[in-house]
Amino acid sequence: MSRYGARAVELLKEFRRSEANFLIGPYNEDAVRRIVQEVDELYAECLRISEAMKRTPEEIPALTSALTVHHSAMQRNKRCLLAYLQARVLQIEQVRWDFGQAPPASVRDSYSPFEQQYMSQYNQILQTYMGSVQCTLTEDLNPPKDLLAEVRCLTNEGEIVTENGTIVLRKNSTLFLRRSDVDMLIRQGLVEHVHSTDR
Amino acid sequence: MFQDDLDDSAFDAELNNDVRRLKQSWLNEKNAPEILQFESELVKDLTDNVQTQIRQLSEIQSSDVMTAFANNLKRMEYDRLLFVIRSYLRTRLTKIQRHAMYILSSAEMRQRLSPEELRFTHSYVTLSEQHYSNSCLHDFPEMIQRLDEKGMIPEPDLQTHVFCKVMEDVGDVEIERADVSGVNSVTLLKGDQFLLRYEPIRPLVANGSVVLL
Repeated sequence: MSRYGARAVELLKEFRRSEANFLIGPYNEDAVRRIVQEVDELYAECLRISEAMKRTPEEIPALTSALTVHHSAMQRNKRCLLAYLQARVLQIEQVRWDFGQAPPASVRDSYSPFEQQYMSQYNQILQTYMGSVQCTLTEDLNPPKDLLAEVRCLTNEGEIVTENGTIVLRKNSTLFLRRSDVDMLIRQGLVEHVHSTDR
Repeated sequence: MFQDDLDDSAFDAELNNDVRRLKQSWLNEKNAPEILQFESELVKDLTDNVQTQIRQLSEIQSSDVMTAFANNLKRMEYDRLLFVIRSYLRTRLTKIQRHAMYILSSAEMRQRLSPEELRFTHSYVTLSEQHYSNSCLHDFPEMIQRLDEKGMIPEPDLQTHVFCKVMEDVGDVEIERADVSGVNSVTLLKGDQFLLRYEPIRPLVANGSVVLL
């Protein structure tokens, strides 16, 4: 039998490596399943040991330590799995902030079905919160430097409604827009700054 | 006319004071490992204020260059203020997301949130529980499916170090348990700056005699 908890540690290391490259790696369903399986086996083993304790009371000291080892391994696997899931969840939330409601397909593809579901529900509760404080928190992520910004349109998006009225985006035209409107358009990849600013 | 001016300057002074307080709360929030008391009145007053001012500004359509310039400067200043408010709320939201279950499980932490944040935290915890359960807990033996076991919920690290500035004389503060050798207390005098462990100065940050940088 392999070392208990080794798979869970490997899973977290894998996450670390992709995180270091600013990537969201694909959800490792296989590893998660195998760790869950390991937990099952450990649990069964714990049950066997406690049965044995009832049968042979004279061996309780030895069996207690066996039980402790298996139980700790089980808890450790659970902790590692939860850590993996939470770390990914935090990344998914960050993507919501960085890209808005529609992340690039390449990012979406690496989510598990549950994570996809999480993303849309997270989006909902975030919207609800922002609605309740009447403040769009997802814009204005950098401190403002100028009132207006000159941008060039990258796509033929047509009319767009912003906080400060309607604007028309035609490919390659340049516009002077209020900075608060620009941020979101840039993140959606619709426009770019004409002068590369110091952002 | 004179009376008007006086009112204006008193109003400005108060507004400036509010802005200062907001900036400090924002910095504290950014640097503290745990969530702090929400400054509900401050945020509400400032938001209302700025929105009124922005509305007034947009109604003034002046052809006078100097006025237009002054208005632009004002608008810029309000934009900055709005940024601080948003960033303050964002920072809090990030912390809530990281420690949602911990915050919800403690009455002390819960009352630090605004009603809106509390609602968000509830929905967030429901969502996470559902997600963790779907993704793995659900497949575990029933005995260990629970999420609120000891050690399973991440808590803020109060032992982390923070830069801080002393705003009023506090005197000696124990910064280390006595059994640890070396210096175990420091004298905090007004104007001093330190890099200290967060936990010992936690009450001082809460009552404002120490601010975080």
